[in-house]
Formats: sequence, structure tokens, C-alpha cells
Amino acid sequence: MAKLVVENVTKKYGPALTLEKISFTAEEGQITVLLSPPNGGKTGICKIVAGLDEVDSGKVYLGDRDITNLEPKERNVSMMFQKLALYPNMNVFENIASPLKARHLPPSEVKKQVEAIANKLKISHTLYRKPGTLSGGERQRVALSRALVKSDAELYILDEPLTNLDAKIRASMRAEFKILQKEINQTMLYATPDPIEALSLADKLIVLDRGKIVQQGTPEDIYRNSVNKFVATLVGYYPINLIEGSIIERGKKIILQTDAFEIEISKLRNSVKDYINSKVTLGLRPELLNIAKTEPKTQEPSDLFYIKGDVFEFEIRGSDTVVYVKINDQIIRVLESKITKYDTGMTVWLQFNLKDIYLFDAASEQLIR
Amino acid sequence: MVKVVLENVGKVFKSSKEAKETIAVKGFTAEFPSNKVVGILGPSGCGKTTTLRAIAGLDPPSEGKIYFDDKDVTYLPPIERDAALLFQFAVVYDNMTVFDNLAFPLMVKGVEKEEINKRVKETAEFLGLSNILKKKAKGLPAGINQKIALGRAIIRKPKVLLLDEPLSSLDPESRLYLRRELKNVIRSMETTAVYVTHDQSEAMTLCDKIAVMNEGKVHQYDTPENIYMNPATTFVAWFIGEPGMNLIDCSLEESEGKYYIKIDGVSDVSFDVSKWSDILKKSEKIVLGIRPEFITITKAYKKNSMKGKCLVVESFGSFALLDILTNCSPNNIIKVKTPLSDDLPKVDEDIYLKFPTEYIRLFDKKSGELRVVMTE
Repeated sequence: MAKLVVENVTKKYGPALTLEKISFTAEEGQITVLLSPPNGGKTGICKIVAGLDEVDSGKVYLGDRDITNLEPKERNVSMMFQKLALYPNMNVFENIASPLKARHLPPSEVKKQVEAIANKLKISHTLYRKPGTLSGGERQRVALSRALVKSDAELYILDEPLTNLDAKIRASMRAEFKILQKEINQTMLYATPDPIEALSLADKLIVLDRGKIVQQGTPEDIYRNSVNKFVATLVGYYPINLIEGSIIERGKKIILQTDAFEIEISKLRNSVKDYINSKVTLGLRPELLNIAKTEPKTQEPSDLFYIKGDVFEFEIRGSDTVVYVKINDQIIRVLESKITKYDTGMTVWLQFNLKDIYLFDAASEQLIR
Repeated sequence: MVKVVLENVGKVFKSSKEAKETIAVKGFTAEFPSNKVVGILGPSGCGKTTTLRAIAGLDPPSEGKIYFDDKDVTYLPPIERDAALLFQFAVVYDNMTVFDNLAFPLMVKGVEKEEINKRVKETAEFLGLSNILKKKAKGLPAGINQKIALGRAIIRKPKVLLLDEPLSSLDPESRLYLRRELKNVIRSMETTAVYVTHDQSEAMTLCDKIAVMNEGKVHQYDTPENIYMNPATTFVAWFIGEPGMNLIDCSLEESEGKYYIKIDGVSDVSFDVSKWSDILKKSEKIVLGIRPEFITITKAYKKNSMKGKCLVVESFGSFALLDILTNCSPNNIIKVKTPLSDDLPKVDEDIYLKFPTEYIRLFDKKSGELRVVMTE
């Protein structure tokens, strides 16, 4: 196990993608997650660290070694790709054992290691079957076992290991993977396009936008303090509501005005004063909004807003309910973490807290801090 | 307005090469009431599309009967059934205008021109297609195409509207709007709608009743509320909800004339089930089901609570999913869904789980069938 340091790495991948001055550290024993929409550069970074692609400039260090120009097999890293590439003619045992070949271990030791990892990933019963006879979820576990069996690797690179699974299995694998990572306690670089996977698994989260790192930090921090509209939209449990508006001054109050409603934001933070008479975008996370079915009692002036609207539509997702509340033609998504039934057209009050709102400068799309 | 009745409908596919039979659907009996939306929900390969095709007349069943009201339609060709079909991918004639696309089913039937004009106008208005009637269908967005296909399905006012995942290929925004329109159409059109999907949120949201299928069999035919609260089998319990119900092995024990359910491997948790002992005694083994969102957690021991160690905490903005390691079987991990708070347990912390009685469901392990809905 070792620390990975990527320093100022630049690599041109053609007209659509260039990795630009990528710098980050994946700490020892931690899981560092690269998150971006497709073609954001995460696979490129994985390949460069694994030694499958060369850098144009920059350095890659693993522990105290400079591995920038080493051959893949000299780097002592293990890698799993989204495309599983299991050997169809070998059984599961042989597939998992294949990375151990180069180490010339005694057969008893190979058996021990294969069985240990297969046991951890709950595929012991499949060891002597061919991959073709397994379910999608089982094949994924075989590939994951093969990637993790090489116990002397100093770094494990996993490029979208759960992407091909169906939603129900992916959710349970995610939790299992979290347990597994804790047990094996290795340095991992994990790429995914799925924000929920990223938020759930990461010790450190790195968000990429078209080849550039836009934000890195703990998942909580990025979720709470997204630096711009792109990050706020990507990093969430459900798509964030974005509402165009402007900031105005009325008497001593600073007001955020949108077509749907207005709210007083004088107490938000001092910097909003600099944006008086400018256009801004309000961001409201659906999971941080609430709905009241009855009119709230007379409100003290407080940081809690109640806005009247009506239910446009609702949908039940798993054990949650997404409610679409319409306020003067603006539709706002609210995620309730329970199952609730609504009648379309019924009057409700959207409820949210001043501290939970995001404001972005409409022109630059950057967070107003 | 017509009710659709399925009587013991089954379908077997025979492969002549290997002399192999595949049972796609078995013993489907249900009544689909008029003016309602009935969903057929299940994972891929469960037999839902086969059932829909049998109702449409595209592929008659190998056994059983299908009635529209009192009329036996089992072997009637599609055209004589007055049923319209809408597929996942919209079938739209690219080189025709939107108007002609909508008019097509009426033209085929030889409806008079004036009547066609009137009906196309009505339908287009209803679906918000009026301003593009003269446009060629080619190049229109997928959401609009699906609307055109819907318009063509409803323009001849079919008695039965059959929908095969019509929304699943659309982007979330068009899906939202089209689903709303679909609801309005079905309500105002006096048609019986059958909606096939693998997506539980579509079914739970849109349907008045849902038939949940797995491996060719209907596990439950019920309202969405009941399917969620009182799943008829352990499959439905697991399949509905994200994550699904926790299913825990239990045993029935007698003590001083009373009967208790005890969780296997856990010594100090039991529930008085004397009221239902006659039913439960018939089961060799019992499974306790409880949804992750109904379990309460505490840091201190409370009477009749179960000790566990928190293995995973996944935060979801306003709630968290916890994986709790316990001595339960067959799976020693219990999933808990709880609102986010400062009091949330940390990884490796010991906590206590309490199962509120009113949310406990008891199943027969062997058949998987629901036996007891516990009440206070």
C-alpha cells in the first residue's frame, strides 16, 4: 500500500478531450473517487496511472517512486476496467488466479489467496464454473476478485466496476464494496459517472469537467459547498432545482426575486450585497426541501421559507416520493424519503431553510460565496 | 368501456430443435376493471410482455381464456378486438406529416374525411400537437414522437389501451410530462389501460392496481399501497422498495401457553404472536419481513431491541442508509433507512434495532407467502 501523487499531468486525447494540469493525491489506505460525466477524463487518468497511456507532461509518483515512465508491469498496480474481459475458457478459479502467475507462488498459496478473496466477495460456490454460466452480478464479482487478489499491489485502480450492473444489484454491491474496502485497507483509485456511488464510497472525491479538476475534497464538503453550477448539478442524490432570478434591494432588505417567488436573503452572507441588480441562479436540492400539506401558522420572521404552490405531479421511487410542485409555472422537484400520496392540483407549501440554498452568479456560473 | 378478464392464462414456448419447453406465463387470473390503469410489473423475463401480447391478440395463449366483458376474445385477431398498442419505441411514419400520422388509423378504417379532420384536431389539441400538424414527423424529438404514437393509438377511441414501457426510452423531462398526459388521456377517454413495465416507480405512480410477476407467475395483484405495505410474497417484499424489505429467519416458540416469534441466532428478541398461532404452526419455518424505513435505532439498549454493529453509513442528503451487522440469518446484514441527524451512528459503533410491531410481516419460508400482518 502506498500513496499516489499525480502532479501537473497534461495529456491531449484528441479534439474532444485534453487532461489539463491534473494534480491530486490519493492517500494511503483511502479510496479516492474520480467523478465526471462520460468523457470527462476519468478513464484517461486511470490509464495514465496504470501506465497504459503516456503523459505529455507531468509526473506520477507511487510511494517514493517516480513511476511516470515505467512499464505497466513495473508499477505494481492492479487495474479493473468497466469491460470485464474475463477469460471465457478458464473457470472462475483460473480467472481470479491469473494475475498471480507472474509471482510463481506455490499452488497451495495461490489456492489460499483465491479462496480468501472469493469468499469475501461471496462467489466461492462458482469457483469451478465457466464465466459464461454466471449471472451479471456474479461475473462482476469475479472481475473484482481478480483485481483485488494481487495482494502485493500498492495501488488498485477500478474504472467503473459497478456500472454494468442493474440498479438493484448495484445498490447492494455498493454497500458490500464499502465493507470490503475497509477490510482490505488498500489505496484505491475509483472512477465512476454515478454521483451516488461517488458520494457513498469516497474518502476523497475529485470532480472532473472536460479534462479539468473543478473541485476536490470530502464528499460532504463538495455536496454542501459545490463551487459552481456544474458541480452542484453533478454531485447530488437527485437533480438540483435551478431557478433563474435576480438580486434587488428594497429598503434595507436584500431580496432574491424569481418569476415564481421572492425571498429575503439579507442574512445569507455579506457577499450578496455585491450582486444587487445582477442576475443569479438559485439552486435548491430536492432532498433538502420539504412539503407542508396545511398552511403553516403565522410565521415569525425566520430563516425558514414557506411558499404556496400546487402539486403538478408526483412519482414513487423505491421507498421515496418525488413531488413536482408548481409555483407560477416554475416546477420544483422535492424528494421525500418516504412514500406519500398526493392529488395533482392540491395546494401545498414548499418549505426550505435559508442555509440550504445555493446562489450562483448567472454569468460565470460560480458560487456566490 | 370494457373490463378485461384473464382466466388461467398460460403460455408455453416450444423450441422444436431441442424439444424444450419454456413456461413463460402460468395461471394468470385477474380482472382488469374499466376506466382504470392496471400495471404488470416484474424483472425482465417474468412474462409481462407475453401477457400483454396475448391480450392484444398478437400471440394467443397456450391455455386459458381472455374476455373483453363477456366476449371471449382469446383467439380473435388483433383487428377485431378494439385494442390499441403503444410500444417503448414510438412507431411514427417519418415521411408523413404529424396530421397524416394521426389520421392514418382512421383512413385505413375508411372514416369520412370531415370526421377525420375533426378527430385529428381534437386529438392534437388534447395532446398539444396542434401547432406542428403540418410538419413532417422526421427529426422530431423522441418525446414528441411518443406523443404522436399515443395520439394514433387513442384517435380511434379503443376500448383497451395496451402500453409496453412507452416512457422508458424518454429523457426524464419528457417522461414526466408524457406520463401526466397519459393519466389525463386514460381518465377522460373511458378506456381500460394495461401498462407493462420493469420500473417500479412508473407502476407505483401511474397505476390503480398492479400485478407483480416473477418467473411467469403473478405474485400479487393489488393496489400500490398494499403491494408496498403488505407484500404477498417474499419476492414482492424484496423487489418493491429501494432497498427492499429485510427478510429474517425466525422460529415459532411456545412458552406458558403463549406463542412467540424468535429471531434465529438472536436470543433476547421475541414477539407475541399467540393471536396467529394456528396459522403460524402450519409453517415449518417463518420469515420476518420489515422495511428498512420502519426500523428504529437507538444507541442505548431498549427492551426487545437487537444489538448490531454499524458497518456502512451511506448519507443521501436528507436520510442515510445503514448496513448493520447482526447475528440474523440467512443474511446477517440488516438495512436501515433513517433521517439524517447529528445522532447518526458511526462506522463500527454498536447500536440497537427495534422493529415496531405494526410493521412486521410474517411469511412462510418454504412458499414465500405472506401469513401474518402484525397489528398492535
